[in-house]
Amino acid sequence: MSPIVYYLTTLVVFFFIFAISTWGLNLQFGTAGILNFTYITFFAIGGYFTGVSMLGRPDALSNMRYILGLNLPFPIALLVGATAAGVLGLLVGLVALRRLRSDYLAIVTVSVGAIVYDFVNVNTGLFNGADGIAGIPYPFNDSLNLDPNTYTFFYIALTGLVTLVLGLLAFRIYNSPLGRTLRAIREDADVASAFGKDSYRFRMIAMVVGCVYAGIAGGLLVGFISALNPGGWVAGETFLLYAALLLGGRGNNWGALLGAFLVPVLFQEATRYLPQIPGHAELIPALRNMIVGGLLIAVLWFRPEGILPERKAKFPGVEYLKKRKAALEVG
Amino acid sequence: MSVLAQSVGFGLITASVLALAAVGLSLQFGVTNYINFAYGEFLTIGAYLAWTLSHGLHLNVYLALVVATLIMGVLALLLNRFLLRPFTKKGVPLLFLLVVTFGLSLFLSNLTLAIWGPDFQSLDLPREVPHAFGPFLFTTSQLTIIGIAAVAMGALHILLTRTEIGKAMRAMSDSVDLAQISGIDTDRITSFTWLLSGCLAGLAGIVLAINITSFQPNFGGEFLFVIFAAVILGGVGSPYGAMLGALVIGLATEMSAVLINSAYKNDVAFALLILTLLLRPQGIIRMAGKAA
Amino acid sequence: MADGTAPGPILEVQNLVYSFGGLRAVNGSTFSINTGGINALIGPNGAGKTTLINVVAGALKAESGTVRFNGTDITGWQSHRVALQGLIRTFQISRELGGMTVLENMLIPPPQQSGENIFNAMFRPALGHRQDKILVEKALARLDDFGLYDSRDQYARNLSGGQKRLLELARGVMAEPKLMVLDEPFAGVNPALIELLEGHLLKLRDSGITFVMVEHNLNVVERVCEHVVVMAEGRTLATGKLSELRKNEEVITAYLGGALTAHPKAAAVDAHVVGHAERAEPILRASGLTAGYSKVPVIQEVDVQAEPGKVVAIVGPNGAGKSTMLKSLFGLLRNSSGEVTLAGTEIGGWPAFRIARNGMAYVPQVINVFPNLSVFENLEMGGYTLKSGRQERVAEVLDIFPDLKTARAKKGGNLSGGQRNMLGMARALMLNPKVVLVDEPTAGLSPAYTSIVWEQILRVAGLGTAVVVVEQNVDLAVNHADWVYVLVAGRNRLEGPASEVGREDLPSIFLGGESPANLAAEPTVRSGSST
Repeated sequence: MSPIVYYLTTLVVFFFIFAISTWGLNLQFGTAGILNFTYITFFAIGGYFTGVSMLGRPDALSNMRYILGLNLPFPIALLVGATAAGVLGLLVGLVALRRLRSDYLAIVTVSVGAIVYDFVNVNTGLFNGADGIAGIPYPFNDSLNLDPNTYTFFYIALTGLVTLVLGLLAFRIYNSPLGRTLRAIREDADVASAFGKDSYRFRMIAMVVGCVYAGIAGGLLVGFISALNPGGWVAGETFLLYAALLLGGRGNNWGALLGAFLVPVLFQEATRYLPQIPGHAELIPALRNMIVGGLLIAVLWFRPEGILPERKAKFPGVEYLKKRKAALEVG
Repeated sequence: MSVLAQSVGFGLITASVLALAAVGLSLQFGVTNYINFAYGEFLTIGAYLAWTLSHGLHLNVYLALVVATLIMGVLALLLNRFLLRPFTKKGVPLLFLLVVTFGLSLFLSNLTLAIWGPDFQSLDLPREVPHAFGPFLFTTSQLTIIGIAAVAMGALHILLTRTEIGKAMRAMSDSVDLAQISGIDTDRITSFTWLLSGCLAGLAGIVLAINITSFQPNFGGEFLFVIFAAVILGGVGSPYGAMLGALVIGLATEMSAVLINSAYKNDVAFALLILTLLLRPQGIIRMAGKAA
Repeated sequence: MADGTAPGPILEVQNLVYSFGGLRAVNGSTFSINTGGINALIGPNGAGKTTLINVVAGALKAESGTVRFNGTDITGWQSHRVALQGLIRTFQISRELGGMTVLENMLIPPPQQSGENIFNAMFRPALGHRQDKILVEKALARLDDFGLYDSRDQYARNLSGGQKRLLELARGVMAEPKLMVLDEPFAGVNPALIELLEGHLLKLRDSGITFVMVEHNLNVVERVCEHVVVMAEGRTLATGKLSELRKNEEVITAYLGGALTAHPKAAAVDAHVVGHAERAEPILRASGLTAGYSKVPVIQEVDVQAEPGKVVAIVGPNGAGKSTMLKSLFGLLRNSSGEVTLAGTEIGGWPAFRIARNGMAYVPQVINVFPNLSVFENLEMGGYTLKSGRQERVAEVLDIFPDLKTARAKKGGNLSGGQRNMLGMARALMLNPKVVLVDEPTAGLSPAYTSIVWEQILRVAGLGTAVVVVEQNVDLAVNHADWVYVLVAGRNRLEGPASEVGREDLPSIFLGGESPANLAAEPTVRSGSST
C-alpha cells in the first residue's frame, strides 16, 4: 500500500472515532447542557479497559504491568471498555449532577481528569504507567489472518459499522422524547421539573451514555493503533472535540459530524505533517493548539450556533395540519 | 526533629502557595460570579515571566518576582477587558462563558509552550541556608514563601477591610445591583479585581515554582484542581474561606504524604473536594446571598 | 362544577412555614381548596403568595406544616414528584423554553412518555413517534384553541409577551393536571387578552381541572373565581367569596393599611387630578415613562414629578407597576422609554451608578443592604463617590438614625428587618441626594417600626430632599405624604394632595368592582357560573 493510501485510510478510521466522540459530547453538552471538561478521560478509560481485556496475562516477556489481561475477543473487550467509561461517568455524575450550576460539574470533571491522569501514571500496575500498554492484538486478525493492507480496509469497515450504528442511535436519541426532554432541561431545569421531569436522572442518562460513546471510541482507537499511553490523551484532546462540536453546530448531530471532519481530521491532520522547526519540535503542535483554543473562542463570539445550527423539530404526517388546511380551503 | 513535625512544616509551605492562588481565584469568582478555568495558566505565566526576568534579563530574583507579578496582573486585566468583558456584556450564558475560559486555558498553556519550550526550568533564590524554628526546619526559600504569603494575606486583609476599593469588591460580591445603585462603578471594580487576581496568580505561580524546584509549561494547569479544592472547601467567593481551605488542604496533603504515601498527595486533595461537594457544598464559610 | 355539594378537598395546606434569612415569608398559612372550580389566592405584596406556591409545588422545602394533595401528604416532595401527582404550576414571569419551538414546548409536559426511556429512544423509536403523533395532534388542537397555531414552529423566545402568557397556560394543560396553580397568569396582559384568557380558564375548569391562582387583578378574580383565599404577612387572613371579603375590615386593612372608609361616590375611571394645590418647581420630572421586562410593558406612559422637601407617595393595587416605575426612573431597566429629568438634566438611558453620582438615590425593597458588610461599611459604600469627608458624613447620617449607631459593627445580614430598611435608607442618604426613591419601606414591618420608618422619611424630606415613596399601605401614604399618585394597571389613575386623594373612593380602586357601600345595598355577585 502506498504511503498516501495508508495515510488516507488511517484518516478515515480517525474520522469515525472522532465522529463517535463528538456525538457523545453533543449528547452531553449540546443536548443536555452538561459541561464535561474531561471528556477525553472517558475515552482513555474505554481504551485502556478494551486494551487490557484483549491482552493476555502480563508476563515477564512483555515487560508490562496491567490489570485484567483476559484475552477477550474484541467485541466483548469493547463492551468492557464502554462499561468502564460509563461507570466512571456515573460516579462523576453522582457527585456533580445534583448541583444545578454548571461550574460545579466543570470543576469536578477537571479535577477528575487531573486525578485519573495522575493515578494512571503513578500506579504502574494499572495500565503500565507512563509507558502505557502496547502490543494489543489486532481485532479478529488471528482468525482472519489478513495481510496488513487488507486488514486496514477490514478495520475501516468494522469502525464504519460501529459508527453507523452509534450514529443511528445518536440521531434516534436526539429526535426522541428523551432528547426533547434533555433539551428542555438544558433550557430551563426548573420548568422541566415543574412538569414532572427528574432533571437529575435525565442528566445522568445523558452523562453516562455520552461517556459510553467516549469509551467505545477509545476502544476502537486502541484496536487500531494497538497501544495507548498517557501521552495520547492529554487534556488538549477534549478541547479539540469541543471546538469540533461548536464549529460544526452543537445540538445538531450532522453538525457534530461536520465538526469531527473539519477540526480533528482536516485541520489537525493537515497540520500534523508540517515540517518541524529544527530544535523546536513543540512549536508546531503548540501553535496548532493555540489555534484550536482561539477557534473555540472565536466560534462562540461570531457564530455560537455553529455552521449547522440546531434544527427545529419536525413532525411529518400530522393529521391536524391537513384538517386545518382543508378547513381553510373550504372556508 | 520528628517526621510529623516536618510534614506540618511542608504543609505550611504548600498552604502558603495555595492561599495566594486560592484567594485570587475566589475574589474573582465572588465579583464576577463565574469560574476562570484559565487560572492555572496564570500561575504558569507568572513563573515563566519571573524566570525570564531573572535568567534572561539578569534581574535580581526578588525584583523579578515583583515585576513578573505585576505583569501577570496587567495581563489578566487585559484579558478581562478585551475578551471576557465583551462576552459578559453580550449576555452570553454561563455555560458558554465557562467554555471561553476553558478555550483560553488551552491557548495560554500552548502560548507558554511556544514561547518557553517544553524543558524543565528552575527558579532559585540565592543563599539557601537551613533555619530551625522549634521542631521545624526551613530553607531560606521556604521561609521566603511563607513570608510572602503571610505578607500578602495581611495586605489583602487590609485591602478588603480598610480601603474603599477593597470594600467595594466585597460589596459587589454581595450584590452587583446594590453596588451599582450605590454609585460604585462596577466595571472599574471588576477590572481591578482581575488585576489583583492576576497578580495573586502570578505570585502563586512564582512561589510554587520556587517550591517545586523545577517546572514545565503545564505545571500551573495541573495545580488548578488543588486550588479548586481549597476554594470550594473554604466556601466559593469567600477570600477568608479560601485562606482557611488552603491551610486545610496544605496540611492534609503534606501530612498524608508522610503518613500514607507521597504519591497520594493529590488524591487527598481530590477526596476533600469531593467530600465537600457531597457533604457541605457551601463550604466552611458560607457567604450570605451566594448560591451554593 | 359550580355548586358541587360534596367535592372533597384537593389541596389542604396546614400551618405551613418557610423563611428567607430571618424573614418568615410563609408563616403558618392554613387553608383548603375543594375539587373543581377556580380559586384565587390574593393578598398585598409581600404576603408570601409566590413563596407559598413554591413550597406547595416542591420548589422550596417547608420548614414545618403539611401540604396534602388529593389526600396524599406531599410535604417535602421534590417538584417533579409533585408534578407527576397531577399538581402543575406556572410561573409569574413566563418561563418559555426559548430555544425550542412552541409546539415542542407543548410536548414537554405530557406524563408517561415511553419515548423518554433511553432504551425505547434507542431501540424502539417508533414507540415514541407513535405517541408523539397523538400528542402533536392534541397540542396543535390546544394551540389552535389558544390562538397560537400559526406560531407553532416559532422559537418560543420570539413570541410576544401576551403569547408567552397564553403558552404558559396552554403548556400546563398538556400535563393533564388535576390541579393547576397559576402564579399571576394575568400579569402584563392587555385587556383584550384578559378576556380571552378568562374564557380559556372557564372552559378548562368545566373540563374538570381545579385552579388556584395568585392574581392581583381583582376584577378578574371577581369574574372567574368562586372561592378566594386572602393572605397577609405569611398567614391566611380570610377565605370566602370576594364580594364578602370586600366588606371584611381585616381584608381592607391588609390591602390599604388603615381604616379608610368607603365613600358612596363612585370613582371616575379616567386618570384625573383631584384638588387644586399648586406644586413647586419639580427637581425630578418623568413623563411618558414606559418600561417592563422582556417585551411585557409593566408601566405605560406614566407621568410623575417630585419637589424638594416634599414626600410624594405612589400607591396602587398590586401589579400596578409601582416598583417597576422606580427601577425605570433609576436606570435599572433596559427597555424603558420616556423622558426623565433630574434637576433639569435629561438622565434617560444613564447607567445606575452615574445617576447615583448625580444626586438621586434608590432604596430597593428586597436587597437593600450588603449582607457581609458591617453597618459602617454599608454606609461607606453609600458614600463611595465622596471625594472627602466620608467618615464625617457617616457620622452625620448615623446621627439621623440613632438605632444604627449602636449596631454599627454588626453585619448587614444580621440586622432585623426594620433595621435593614433603615440602613438601606441611611445608605441612600450618604451622598446627600436631591431625590431619594424608596421602594415599600414598611413592607413586612411591625406597626411600631412602620411609624418610625415614616418619621425618618419625613425627616429626610425635612432636609430639603425630594422623596418618592412606593407604599403598599395607603393609609400611611395619605397620612404622611404631601402628594399621592395612584397607579392602576401600569397607568396614572389619580393624583393630588394626600388629603384630597384620601377622600376618594380608594377601596373600590384597590379591591375592584363596586364600592363596598354599594355592594351592601345590592348583594348580587356576578361571578363565573356560581350562583
